[in-house]
Amino acid sequence: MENSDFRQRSMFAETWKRLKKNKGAMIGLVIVVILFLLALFAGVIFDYDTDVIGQNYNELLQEPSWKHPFGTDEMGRDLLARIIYGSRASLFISFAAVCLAAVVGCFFGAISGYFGGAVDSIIMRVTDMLLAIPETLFAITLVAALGTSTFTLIIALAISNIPIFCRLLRSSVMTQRGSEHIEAARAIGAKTSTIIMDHILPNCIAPVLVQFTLSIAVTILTISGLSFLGLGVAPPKPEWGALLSSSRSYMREHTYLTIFPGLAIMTTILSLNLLGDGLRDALDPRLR
Amino acid sequence: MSDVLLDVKNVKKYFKTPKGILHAVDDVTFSINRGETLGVVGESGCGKSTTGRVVLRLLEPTEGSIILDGENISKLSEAKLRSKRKEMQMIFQDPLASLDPRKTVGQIIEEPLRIHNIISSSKDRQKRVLELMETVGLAQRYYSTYPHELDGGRRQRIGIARALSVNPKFIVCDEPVSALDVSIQAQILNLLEDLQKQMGLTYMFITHDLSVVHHFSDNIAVMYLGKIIELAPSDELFAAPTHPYTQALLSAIPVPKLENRRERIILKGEITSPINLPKACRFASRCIYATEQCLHGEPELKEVAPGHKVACYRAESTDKT
Repeated sequence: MENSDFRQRSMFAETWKRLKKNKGAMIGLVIVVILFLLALFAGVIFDYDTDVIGQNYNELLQEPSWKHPFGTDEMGRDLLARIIYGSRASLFISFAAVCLAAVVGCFFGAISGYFGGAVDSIIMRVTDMLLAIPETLFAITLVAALGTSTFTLIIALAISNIPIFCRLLRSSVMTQRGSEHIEAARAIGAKTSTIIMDHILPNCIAPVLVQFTLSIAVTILTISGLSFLGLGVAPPKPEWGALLSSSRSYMREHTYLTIFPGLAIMTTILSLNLLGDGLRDALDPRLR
Repeated sequence: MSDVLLDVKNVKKYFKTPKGILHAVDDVTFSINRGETLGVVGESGCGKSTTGRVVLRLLEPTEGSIILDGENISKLSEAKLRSKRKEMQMIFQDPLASLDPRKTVGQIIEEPLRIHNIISSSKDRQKRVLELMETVGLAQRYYSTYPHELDGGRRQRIGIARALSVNPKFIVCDEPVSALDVSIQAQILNLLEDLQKQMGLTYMFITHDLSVVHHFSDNIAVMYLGKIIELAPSDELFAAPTHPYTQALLSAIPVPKLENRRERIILKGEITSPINLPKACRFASRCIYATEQCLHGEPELKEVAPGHKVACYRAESTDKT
């Protein structure tokens, strides 16, 4: 403890300081950043028309080599280029969907948990209805009704993730609401909005963060599943799940075709989980 | 006599439960003079904390009026009540639970100043926070620490500093020392006493520890099942407890002398359930003096000596023995 330090350390600086000490979280963060940069600058590294969707029948199903580090697929396309381009779809759709779900879910969850009563009952019954529909089935229905597009996919995935966040935040808020420090905040005259934003939500963030990383992982898998069914990202546009499913028929002879997209999914999910766990710990001043 | 700061009249707080209506606070009337302390004692679940919260309108009263410094706060709108909270504050029982674990000591004490916009510049605010910390005996080096890093006594000092930051007139102390070590209890009590003298504070001091209230309070209210059953000046109550329950309570205070042992009154029987109360004296089921009359009507709080009120038929009929 510095004796003369009266500066109010900001929450962000504090968190960052603690996060830096966590090796796992930093590895996760580095990988996530690299993935995002690759997705962002994929166009600089590879040319979409020639490398990603351009078919080359002279180089069908080649083993990994210097020219094609991850090998080529059944149409002679470079797998590395396709995986990197595929990360755009996987990452963008899953992040957009889960962010949307988290914001909407947390909003309704906080209201439901804080006010209780009839508001709570209504929100919870709607949530129960949504929870009752399997995620994939719901997405299939919506995509079938509205047509295959990235936007539809995001909406479908977001809606099926909302109840998870809603329930999660509701229960945390309910625990927080009854605690004495919330009563203390009311006693000093804080407004309801201040109490929710300033006192309740910061104390509820840990489970939300963990759920966020989990949901991203599950959503990436769901997108893959939908692409596999032909409802996700349409070929020839690459997407990790689609890459995985199209390589299925060549799995015995050309294992690398399944291994690399699988590794990409696994690495992303693993690093997100590491980062999420690290963030959760770093955001809690009690764990130092 | 000095003027009345807080006047509580016929306040009731009922909770609806699946089994019926729970009478947590049932028709409580008392007043506190400016600069004085009212000690509220009673066993767990007797409604003393609820009374404290209703008085501050942290819980809505079911009925009754609460007049603080001439203004009836029981009917104030949310917005007006918020600004009125500058005048009435609370010190909580559990100093750790009542402090936001994600905020530093400085942020916690600063918050009321920011909410009520008492000091707008952040630099002056910090100066005031450091001042407050000094007042309550917290070293400045704790400014940017978190509550969980400090011991119980220091945490309670944070709570006190937070309550003082808005210069309140009236503070409800809800068992402020019961979660602390005995050695620290004395420190905190002395601090509260000093602050009262310096700032002319008025306290409602809720506790279950009779020895604490004795030297601390001007008047003491004894509560049983949501009712005040005896209300008297502190010394009078200790010298001449009138209600059988008060007598039993006082007999339970340990006397640190071997030759001067007191006969303890052991209460037998179960507490009556506060849900769907029968129309009878609430203490009758455990009272050694209970008569037929006690089972058929509720005694009211009546003055038996100047300033000394008791709710017991026995005190009404016979003189104190």
